[in-house]
Amino acid sequence: MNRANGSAPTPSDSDALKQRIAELEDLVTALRSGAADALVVDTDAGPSVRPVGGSDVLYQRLIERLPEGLVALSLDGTILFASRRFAALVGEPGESLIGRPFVELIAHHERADVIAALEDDRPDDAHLLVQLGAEADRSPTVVLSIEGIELPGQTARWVIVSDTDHQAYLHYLVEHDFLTELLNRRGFESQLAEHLEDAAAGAVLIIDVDHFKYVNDTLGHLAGDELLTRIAHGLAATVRGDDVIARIGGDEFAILMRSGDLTAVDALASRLLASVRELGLGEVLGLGREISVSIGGALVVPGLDVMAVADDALYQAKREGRDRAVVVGALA
Amino acid sequence: MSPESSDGEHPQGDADHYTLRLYVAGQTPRSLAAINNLVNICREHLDGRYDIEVIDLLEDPERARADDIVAIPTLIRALPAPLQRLIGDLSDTERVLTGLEIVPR
Repeated sequence: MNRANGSAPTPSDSDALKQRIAELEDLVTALRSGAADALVVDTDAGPSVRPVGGSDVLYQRLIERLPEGLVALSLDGTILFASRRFAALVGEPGESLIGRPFVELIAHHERADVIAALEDDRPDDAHLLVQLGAEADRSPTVVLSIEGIELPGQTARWVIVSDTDHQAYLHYLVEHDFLTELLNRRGFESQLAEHLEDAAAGAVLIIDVDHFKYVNDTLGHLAGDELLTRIAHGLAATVRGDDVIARIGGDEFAILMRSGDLTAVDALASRLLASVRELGLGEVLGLGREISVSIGGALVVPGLDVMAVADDALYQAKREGRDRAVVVGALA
Repeated sequence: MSPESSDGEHPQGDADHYTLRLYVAGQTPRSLAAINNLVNICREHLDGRYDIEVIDLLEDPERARADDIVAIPTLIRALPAPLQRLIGDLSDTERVLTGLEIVPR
């Protein structure tokens, strides 16, 4: 990356700035996905190599867990990084925000104040109550706190975006798995209980990644996280529209089929097994062996603990050699 | 680490010749994978038109300044200009080929 000389980018710098934004985007993507092993940080003694996997990844995850949105801006007000929370607040995909002027996301009548605060040389005390978006009646009102930061190559701005109502987001965090963005065990159990109150129908599938410990031990936890994320996306793309999917444990996923007989459960289980094989994760991660899952399934039967029956079926699938499904019908 | 040269001839003025620098940090899995992937991609797609220098920043961290390296592994395409950089273990061959403009984006 080209180190800037401290002066603000001018229009003639636009190509360099675009390149710079693309590079920072790559960097954020690399850190998120675990593609980078280490960071080079400036110290008084010169550049120093610091392994990723400790504080940097934790820092990144911490940012994403905050109830406040966080945005990094270049000196000309272009978005370099936007947290998921901020993307949710403005109602747009995070990727689409990178490279856009921040003020475009602020209501028209508030923009002059925001521009003035961003142009302030010492913005550390700037706190503004503004409305996001162009539709004044439907967009949330937020507090913007603007801070100066040092990014490699330029001085930029952090904008902390505090929603006046955190409750909805906190509720989301309680019931979702942060890594995969699927429901977590608590969220799944809540949906299952709700379903069982309404109907004694459907089925539960429990899915466990085969030899997951080997991946963690061989390639490290970042690769393990990458594997889980990819499998989660593969499974989520395979389930039916009204099925509920969750990550209920380290390498364990669960699916609630709200309807369907044994044939439908068998069919979905087969599709799920195939979807994981088709990901080719062993090759993608350079693991030297293919990645598979085992599945235990159980039909919902009044009086039986469907989760326990599905769990027993899962262990049967493991005992029989893995990479297979065992589905227990009504007589279990 | 010593550079890998495709043929010993370095036609630096040749617009088709790639001068690549791969920044790594010791023998980490991503660094080793990046070296392996890069060599394979060059052998397969650049047909002798490349030089690779592997720079271990654990041995010589000052080298990070020259290309403003922030994350490791990072691959720099120094030539042909303009300079391009890719972060990661280079396992996505298609992304490497387009990122280095060996094939059109």
